[in-house]
Amino acid sequence: MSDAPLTQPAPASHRVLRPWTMIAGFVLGLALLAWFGRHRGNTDYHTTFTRFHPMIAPDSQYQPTMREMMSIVRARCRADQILVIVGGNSILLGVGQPADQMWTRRLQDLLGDRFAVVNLAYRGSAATDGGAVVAEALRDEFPRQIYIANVAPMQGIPPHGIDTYRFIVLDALAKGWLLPWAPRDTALAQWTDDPVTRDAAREQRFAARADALLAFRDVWNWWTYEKASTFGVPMMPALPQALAARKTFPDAETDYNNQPFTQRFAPAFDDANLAITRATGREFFTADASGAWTPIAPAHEAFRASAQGAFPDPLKARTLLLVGHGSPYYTHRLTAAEKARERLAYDTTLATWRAIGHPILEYGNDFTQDDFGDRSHLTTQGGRKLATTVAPAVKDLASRLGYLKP
Amino acid sequence: MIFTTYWFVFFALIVVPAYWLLPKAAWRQWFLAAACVVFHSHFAGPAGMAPILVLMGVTYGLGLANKPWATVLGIAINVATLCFYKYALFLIGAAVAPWNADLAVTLTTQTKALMPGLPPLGVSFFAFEFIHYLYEVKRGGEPIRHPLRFVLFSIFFPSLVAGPIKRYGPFLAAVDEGTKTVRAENVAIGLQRIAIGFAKKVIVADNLTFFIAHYHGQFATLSLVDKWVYLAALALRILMDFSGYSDIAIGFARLLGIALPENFNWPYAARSLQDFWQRWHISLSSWIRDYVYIPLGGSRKGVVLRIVNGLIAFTLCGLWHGPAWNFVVWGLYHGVGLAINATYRNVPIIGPAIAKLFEKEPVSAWVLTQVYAWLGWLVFFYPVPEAWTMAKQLFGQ
Repeated sequence: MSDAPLTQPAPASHRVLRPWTMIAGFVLGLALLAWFGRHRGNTDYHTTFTRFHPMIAPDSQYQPTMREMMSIVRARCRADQILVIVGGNSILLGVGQPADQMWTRRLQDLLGDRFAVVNLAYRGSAATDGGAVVAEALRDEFPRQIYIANVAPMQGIPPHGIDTYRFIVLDALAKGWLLPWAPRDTALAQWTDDPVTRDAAREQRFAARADALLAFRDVWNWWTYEKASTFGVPMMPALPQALAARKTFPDAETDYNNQPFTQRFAPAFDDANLAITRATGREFFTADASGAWTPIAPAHEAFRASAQGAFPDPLKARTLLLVGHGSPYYTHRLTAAEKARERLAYDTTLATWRAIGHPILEYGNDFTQDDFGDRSHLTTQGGRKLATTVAPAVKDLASRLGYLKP
Repeated sequence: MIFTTYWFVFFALIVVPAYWLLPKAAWRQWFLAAACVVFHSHFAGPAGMAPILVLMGVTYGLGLANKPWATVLGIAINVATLCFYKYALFLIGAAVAPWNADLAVTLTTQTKALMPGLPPLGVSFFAFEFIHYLYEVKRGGEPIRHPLRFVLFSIFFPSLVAGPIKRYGPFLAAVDEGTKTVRAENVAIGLQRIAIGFAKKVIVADNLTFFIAHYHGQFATLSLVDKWVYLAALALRILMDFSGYSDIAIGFARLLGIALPENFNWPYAARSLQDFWQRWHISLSSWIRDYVYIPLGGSRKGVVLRIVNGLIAFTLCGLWHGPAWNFVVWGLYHGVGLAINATYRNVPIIGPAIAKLFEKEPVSAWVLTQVYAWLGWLVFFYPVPEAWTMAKQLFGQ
């Protein structure tokens, strides 16, 4: 007897593919990856999270997924606590305050254990971005929740967020986690149909739908956070840090307390900052013959419509908006007329948001120069004052919403 | 990059398995043609697709006519189309503006009004493949008769955007062979090439792009060693980017059982500039050789005309990469290099000595070739004055 097989296998070049076997293997592989992505996304691996500092934010091309952010919240809020999600931009992110002295930490201390404060703000984001989307997606899971974000006076807010953070709202929409809200749908449709943004918009929407099925972004984010980046981190041009796991980067936000005044309020930027401060309300009020400010009706109507469409109606009452003042280093240099127009802008902003059902709070009017790290961001001291201002409003709102048991 | 869009990934996930599951070669070819149309219409849009469809129809019809006048007319139409969409504004700026600025402004305005926002997707590749087709038909090649086969040759999706530039004879033979059965070997090779291509593009090239962008502004302040590292990064980036893209294209074609021509063969191992151009963007350099250099007379009419023909061919090669002066200069730079490469042995005493040195010490030939090719990338990527400054800084000036 011979050891040779009775029939020799066909040479590799003659083997015909068995498509079903190949496809089944491929589908199984994708299914396993999709399961893994969901599993990782539903686990909070940001164990040291305090906020989205640049190395775990789109600033460095890291785009947190909805699952990832929801897991962060779930790991930090017990079912018996009132969830307080902080969104908005770099001011509420706490830029200028070290992680251990952030204003939201102080807010947590002031609110006590009945509340759980989670900071999901991003640099430059609108009030309807990141944290707002997470809060909306968790509305049933955490029915006792308050969402806090900042708005600028007389500033319209896109209901679908800004371009940089639109991946978040698309992610949530594709997974069916958001309320039906016509203004948001309309804005997204316009963005998708605009010839300038159409290609990128369609690709992003398609990607979000595909990710809802396959959860590949959760896989990659987990890998990038825990193991290594596959793409160089923009702020870290030198190897090996450029490709290091994101968890290895500390929250190294600037501490304004350690920066000299002339660096924070650099004379080179004085004119530009003053011009921004002076512009408050300029598009909304015009001086009449007597010098008194009168509203520009179309601009006011556009602002009112934008405010009305920013947040879904059922969520307005629990969305606490903060409208802040700038540093007195600049505001003190406004003329009397400019100060009058600024006051009108704040009053109109407060009245408009209140009229459509939002609680809103003005802060910073009485802050000193030392409370500000620059034109708008707060020092640790300013952050503490903000927390002191906001905490009673949160408690009051929680009480009015029926969250607090007598 | 189209291959890294989510749309394409899911397009491929649907098209490739469906193609495999079809039981007959004819069905696979029809299905493939339909998929190519979907791909082209998605990425080119109606405005980008319309001129290509017209060009396809004209090329197909004139090829079928199989008359010398028809093929010459077809080649002229293809050249004119390419010039209009890709080079019209550049040519107006280069040829008219120096003599009559007002006329140049008027012509630019009128030309822009006739154009879509961007040139039609892959117009350079279409034009080169159609010119090749008509030229070969004129030389006695069999025209493509079946419209389906012409569609497959024209808009075969893996090579539609960035090549390799196909030759219709070998390509259609590959289609006939590849669509008969789906072979496991082809699928394995295809998947490997795709993986290698994506790794080259996404992991290596994109990271080098980031590195290059970061240090570009600081080039003058870098140490001499770091300046050369920068140049190496530039050279590696374009190889990894372009050859990665070619790998993905070749890989996807191979998943469908269809072999595309190779485009790169370790160009940075070349030991002469002629060798470099037999390894770099092979489908383009061989096209330039066959349809520009040789028809001009090639090397058959003496040393002077050989050099002139080479310079013309490589100037066109440079211009093919984009309508800008730095590409023209890059092409000329390589044309000059190739002229030196082809003739230095004829220089008394020095020529044979250098040739002997290169034979005895091949590393010296390799270093010289690569330094020359890499320095060329400066003018490929940057405006000529900036490239010149960077080149001088690389030599400590």
